[in-house]
Amino acid sequence: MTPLQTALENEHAAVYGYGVLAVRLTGPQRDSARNAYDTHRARRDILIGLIEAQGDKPVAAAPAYAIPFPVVTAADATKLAAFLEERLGASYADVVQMSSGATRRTGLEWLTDAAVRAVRWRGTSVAFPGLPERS
Amino acid sequence: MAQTDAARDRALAAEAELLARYDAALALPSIAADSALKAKLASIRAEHAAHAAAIRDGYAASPAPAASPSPSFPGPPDPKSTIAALAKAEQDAASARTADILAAEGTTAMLLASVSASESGHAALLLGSAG
Repeated sequence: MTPLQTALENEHAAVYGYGVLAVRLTGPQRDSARNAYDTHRARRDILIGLIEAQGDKPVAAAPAYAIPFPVVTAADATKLAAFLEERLGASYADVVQMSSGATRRTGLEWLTDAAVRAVRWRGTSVAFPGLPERS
Repeated sequence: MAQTDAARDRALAAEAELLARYDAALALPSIAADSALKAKLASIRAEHAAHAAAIRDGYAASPAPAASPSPSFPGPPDPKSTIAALAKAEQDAASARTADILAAEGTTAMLLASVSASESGHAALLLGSAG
């Protein structure tokens, strides 16, 4: 799979995952989850366009995605949100490595956005977002 | 990679400046007295040290003006202004890498992009915006 297709697959999963986790949150955290849900839907659609423009067939969304642990409490929900953003960060780090020009710029912007959202969900930072092999 | 790499040199100079800023902040009595804040800044400082080590890894850096005469960052010594100045420095450092990230070969671009994203994350952490 190309880095853009992997990113698209992870955006599909993030849209699904935020739908699952948002209902476990309240107040400003639920607003953040809704904002993230909308952002990831928009990115999914942009990626579909980019992949089609390259003459490729975008991976379709699955009806459901595996959630790595039960999401019952608000703490579970924020942990899942951080997980989704970290996985997207790794996808976009690969996009940066394997692309150039406008696509690389997009990869950088979305890697940065994933890193910032992950920091907010976790409450802690990491030295190398998107590069799990370094942490 | 023995040859000079201007993008890595610039990134190393930026990391040296950020490390000096955190050292200056951690030396402030008002910050040293706040153990939670001190721990947060120390952990971010450690991540900058990790950035510098990763950027230097396998690379013989140019004889660096990065070891400049320990820059001082005189500023209002109250924690709030110090934190705001650190957050701005993080965001400035992240933005300043963009051109080099776009021009670098893949592996260097990916490393510098991760460092830049980390710095934007530091700014968010310092400003403490919730969720």
